[in-house]
Formats: sequence, C-alpha cells, structure tokens
Amino acid sequence: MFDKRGGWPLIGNIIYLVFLFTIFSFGVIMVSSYKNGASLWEDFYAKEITRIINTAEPGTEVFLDVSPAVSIALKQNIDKDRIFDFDNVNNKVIVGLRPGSARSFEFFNDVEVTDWELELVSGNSESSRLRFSIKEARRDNE
Amino acid sequence: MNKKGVSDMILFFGFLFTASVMLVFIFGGVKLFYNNTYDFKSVESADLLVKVKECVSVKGDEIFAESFSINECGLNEEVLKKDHLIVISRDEKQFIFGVYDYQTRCLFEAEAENLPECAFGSQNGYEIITASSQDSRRIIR
Repeated sequence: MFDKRGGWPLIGNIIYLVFLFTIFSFGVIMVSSYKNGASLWEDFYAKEITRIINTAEPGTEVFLDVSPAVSIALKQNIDKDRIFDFDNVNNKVIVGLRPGSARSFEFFNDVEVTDWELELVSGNSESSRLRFSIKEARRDNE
Repeated sequence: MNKKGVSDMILFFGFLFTASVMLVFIFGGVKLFYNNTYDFKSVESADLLVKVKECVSVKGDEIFAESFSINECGLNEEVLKKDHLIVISRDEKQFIFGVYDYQTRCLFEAEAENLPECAFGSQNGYEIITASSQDSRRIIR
C-alpha cells in the first residue's frame, strides 16, 4: 500500500476521489430535494385550507384546486389519500407532499371537517381538486 | 509510513473538513431559502377579529360573565389558548383569553418572527383586540 518513499499512491487517490464523489453527490441530492418547493407548498396549502375552514359556516361544501401540490406529491410517490388529512380531535389541517414529512396548522373555528376526498379531475395530477364539507363540531357530552 | 506520508494524510483530512464545511453552508442556505414559511399571522388575526365581532354583536355583555366560555362564540378554546389572544373591553369591563403576554407585544411596532400580529377593531362600543402568533408545524410521519 505504501512505497518506501511514503505517501498514498494509487489506493490513496482512489479513496480520496470516492470521498469527494460521495460528499458532493450527497450535497446535490439534498439540494435537488428542495428545489421542487414541496415544503413551501405544504405550508401554503395548510394555511389556506385552514383559512377556508376558519371563515366557513357549518353546512358549507368546499372545492379547492390543489393541482400544484398534488403534482409535486405524486412525483414523489405519495399516496393521493395521504396528501391531505384533517384531524378533528386537535383541529388540525395536515398537508404532506414529501415522504415521511408533513406540515400542520390548527383552525380555531369550532367545526368538523368531513367527507374529504382528493379528486383527480382529468385522471392525473394536471387538474386535481380537494373536496370537503364543514359540519358543526360534535361535543362528547351531547 | 514516513513523514511525507503523514503530511499527505493531514492534507487529506484538511480537505475533508473544508468540503464538509462548504457542504453545510450550501445545504443550510438552500434549506433556509426553500423552507421559509410565509407569514400568515396577520391574516389569521384579522379572520379571528371578524369572528369575535360577530360573537360580540350577538352575545353583548354576556361575554363578561364569569361562566362565559369562548366556545359559545363557535371558537375552539384549545386552539386559541395557544398562540392567540382575544381581548374584549367596554367601559371598565374586560374579557381576555389566550396568551396574556401578547397584549404587551401588540404595542411593539417592530416586526419579528416571534412577535404576534395583532388586529384592532370595535363593535357596538366594544373594543376588540385579536392576535395570532401561530405558524405551521413540521410533523414526521
């Protein structure tokens, strides 16, 4: 491995290049994972859906165009039924466009979100809409 | 390994350290840029103000009763007690719910990530202040 004159001949250079390649590949992958803006869209839709819920009255049915978000999520192989979720116990809207991660935002209106469904109107992510209904919150003591 | 080999090894680790630091800065910068959330606090406090105004116009002085709960306004107590504030006052009477400290912070003209955004209004002689400091939370699933 080392010749009498010392230093790292061929093996050393190979190790060096492998390290270099690994580190910069890691960096490129990390940067690429952010450039689709998934985090920003998650935040945007969580807040906008929350706003709709906060200003809606019970009995309202909502249809919301969510094409940009769904397009990003489907490219990352997220199941379409897991993109948007509503937690009525904790009053949260949850939007997840990336594997293993999502963003949540709480709504203060005392209502429940029911019957939510993501419809791929044209059969693919080009045109998709989220449908859900707003109902009065059930109380445990009723 | 002779002295020449040792110095080469030190240089290698020096390069590794430099490359790691560069990577941290590049990744950190990209993450900061793309992970930035947009400020929704002022919108939320304005929406809350509208809701509270509606409630005040219906309930009136009932709001100042000891047994009054913010749930009676169609608002969720558990959500509002964190990151929000509602202050309703008329004459000497006052109703406060949420993070009390936001009353003081609403007076600051500066904008900062940790400062709430406040909305001020009045309805039928009632002075109303609402504030929100909520931001989206990242969850692992």
